[in-house]
Amino acid sequence: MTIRRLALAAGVALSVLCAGCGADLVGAPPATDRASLFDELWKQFDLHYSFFELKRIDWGAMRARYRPAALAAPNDRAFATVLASMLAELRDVHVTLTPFGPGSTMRYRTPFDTLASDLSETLIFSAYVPNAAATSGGHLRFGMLANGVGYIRIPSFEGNDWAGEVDEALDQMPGASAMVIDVRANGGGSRLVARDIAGRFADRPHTFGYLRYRNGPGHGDFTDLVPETVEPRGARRFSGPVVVLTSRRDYSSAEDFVLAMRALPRTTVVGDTTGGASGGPIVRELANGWTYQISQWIEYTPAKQIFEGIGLAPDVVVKPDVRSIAAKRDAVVDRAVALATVR
Amino acid sequence: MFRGTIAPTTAWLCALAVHATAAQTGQARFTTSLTASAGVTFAQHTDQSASPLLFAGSGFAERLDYERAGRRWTTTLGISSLIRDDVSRATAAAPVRERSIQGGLAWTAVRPLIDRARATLAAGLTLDARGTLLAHHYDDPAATVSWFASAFATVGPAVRWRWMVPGGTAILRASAPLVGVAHRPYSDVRIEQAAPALRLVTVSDLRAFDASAAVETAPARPIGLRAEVNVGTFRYSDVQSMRAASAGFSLGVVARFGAPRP
Repeated sequence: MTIRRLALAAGVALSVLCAGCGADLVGAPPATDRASLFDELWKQFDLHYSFFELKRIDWGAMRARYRPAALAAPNDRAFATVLASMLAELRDVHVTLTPFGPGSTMRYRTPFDTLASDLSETLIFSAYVPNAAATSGGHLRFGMLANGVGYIRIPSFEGNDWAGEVDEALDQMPGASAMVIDVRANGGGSRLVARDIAGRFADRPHTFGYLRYRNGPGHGDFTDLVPETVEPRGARRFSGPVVVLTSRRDYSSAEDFVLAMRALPRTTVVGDTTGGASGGPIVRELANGWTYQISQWIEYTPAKQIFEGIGLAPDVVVKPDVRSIAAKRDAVVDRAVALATVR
Repeated sequence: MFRGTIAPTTAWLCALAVHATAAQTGQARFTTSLTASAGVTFAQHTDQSASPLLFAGSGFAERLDYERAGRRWTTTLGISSLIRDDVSRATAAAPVRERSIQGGLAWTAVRPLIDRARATLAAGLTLDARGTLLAHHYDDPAATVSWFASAFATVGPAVRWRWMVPGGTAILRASAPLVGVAHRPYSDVRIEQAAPALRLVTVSDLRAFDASAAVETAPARPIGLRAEVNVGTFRYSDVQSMRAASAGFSLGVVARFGAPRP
């Protein structure tokens, strides 16, 4: 009799627990009204963005300033514009908002983005490397410059698992005495690809920088410094002198590449200071499906200096020279060849 | 969706309980058993570290249990795994997908409170360790996939009620964590490279409940079959909270060893 009563009690208790609480256990779907979306976006940046203190941004003031305009926005496009304007206050090219799918990404534009381009690939591949070839995946173009100097053009680090294409380029330039790697106007992409390519020129592991990850709700909550290391990669490595060409439009993973390369002993960086975008973004989404990116770490040079918003200075400064381009010359390549030949 | 899954499950449980208590039969028990089972699971969940969206989906679960009945204590060691695919149910323009990969290890020891020839009500504790890898597919232009990890090791009370039914044995189990440790990174696996930060959790942070009802056939024979329904809830409060509710059904084979106890 006791068992029977217990059975009934257990059955009733279980049915009450389970049948009565369904959706309540996990909560209702998140709200998608503009106030909720604005607050969620603001909160996620408050929880994860890494440069509030460095850039001395009063995020609470931004909320007070932009929230009324966001709530008063007449349509979704205007609402997105207000959100993007608030995010632009962070002056961070890694911070984006993509409200309406591919092609709708809104991001902060640096002053360098609006300058006339100082790089002409047409000029390079007509005047300097006329016999250039592309690698099998199409990510790289390469060929021989004057005086037995090899040239590899890396316009982007977008995509995954294609670092091996550098091996193709190196295999086809076996007699190169030095190598020029041109990453000018490279907007970044995969850090792993950038690091793996740098590994083709590494003689041994080198620490090329440090990261501190945002790891708590306080704006100053970060992990300790985590070293970043470039290690020898690939079946074939180039051990000769290397000249890396940089420009103001180098961002993110392109700057990781420059950091990694300049940690190697036989590398010279030539050109202009890089763009200074080091945040390492994560992707998030709002309840209405809009996606956005948040910088979530601070990157340091081997000397433990922050270069966000500053950039990485080259070893040899060669400023953009529009007149030389007009004269069918690329001053940065000319200087690189001269340096590579001397070395 | 979840209500639709829970309601028949609960009805089945109640019918089983009432039927079982009305028709108890005496059968022998072995001291040791090994059970392998597999089945489907349905769940709703939200993980704020990945997304504010609410997800629902189904998956495949496997479980292996080794049980040994001693003079006073019956212990069970179980390992489990689960792969589940979920889709967002919010108003996002395009459905967002997640995949959960879970693994668990549980050790339970229960001791009879009421021990009769045909039924036993036992209580004790459960040590439960479970880890989850969550792959979140963002609908951004780069089609980013981020992985989020979490792990919990807890201890809490467990009860088990076992009784004879015509042709078999019915078993009800329930457990809930009281205290434990949680490894809950602040960000996704790609970002979070720092050493694991364990956090002590109690019922104020972690409220969970697992229950199951099973029927095993041919308890007097070395081999039997098991059918089981289970339900569970999980609610973890942190800066970025997690909530989940699940229900499942599985079928398995029970191999019994040791001298049967009359």
